[in-house]
Amino acid sequence: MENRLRHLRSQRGWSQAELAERLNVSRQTINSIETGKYDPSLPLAFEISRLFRLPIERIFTPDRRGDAST
Amino acid sequence: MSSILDISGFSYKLIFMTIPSTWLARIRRPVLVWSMTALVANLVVKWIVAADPALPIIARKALMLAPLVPLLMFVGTLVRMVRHMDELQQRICLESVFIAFVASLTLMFVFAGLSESGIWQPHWDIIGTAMMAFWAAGYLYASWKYR
Repeated sequence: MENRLRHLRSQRGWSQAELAERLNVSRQTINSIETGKYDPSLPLAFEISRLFRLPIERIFTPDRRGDAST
Repeated sequence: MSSILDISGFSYKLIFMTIPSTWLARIRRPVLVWSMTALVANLVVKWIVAADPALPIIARKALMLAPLVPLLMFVGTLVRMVRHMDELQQRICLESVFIAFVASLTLMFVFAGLSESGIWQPHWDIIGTAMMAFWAAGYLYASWKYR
């Protein structure tokens, strides 16, 4: 799954640590999502969607190859 | 005392300050405290029992069971710690436990073969240490995978 998390975070001038704090997760989790090494759970994806006030499909899109990374 | 703490002109405070703050936070974690307490209690009890062969059986049994208290506290704090982790950290824990389980199972078969053939009789301590080592290695691998 691909995502625009790094782009959206940079737009708001937040560091990974700041975003992690807002989402109540570790900085490693944010980094892993941004680098595509980890796909968040549905509750966390909805939490990210709520935080950025964007529909979930505007943040997360299926991988072009159609395979999940995790 | 000050000569011990002040080695080659370096204050112990300076040395202490060079330790990353995250390490200190980890050291303070109850999980680490209880695991170290259980380990030390186990070593002390073994030493006492070995040093005094004339120890009454009841006292010996009580002593040998004493490390179970910090061990149970360790298990309790470990479970609580995992429950408070975020989803990625829980996943890392789960993967490391799976790696440790598979590696330990393989090792048990090897040890069973060695034992039954009379080549070598492994001690419980070795099996326990190997399981912990597998878990640590699994944790490092899983953590590296999601770095």
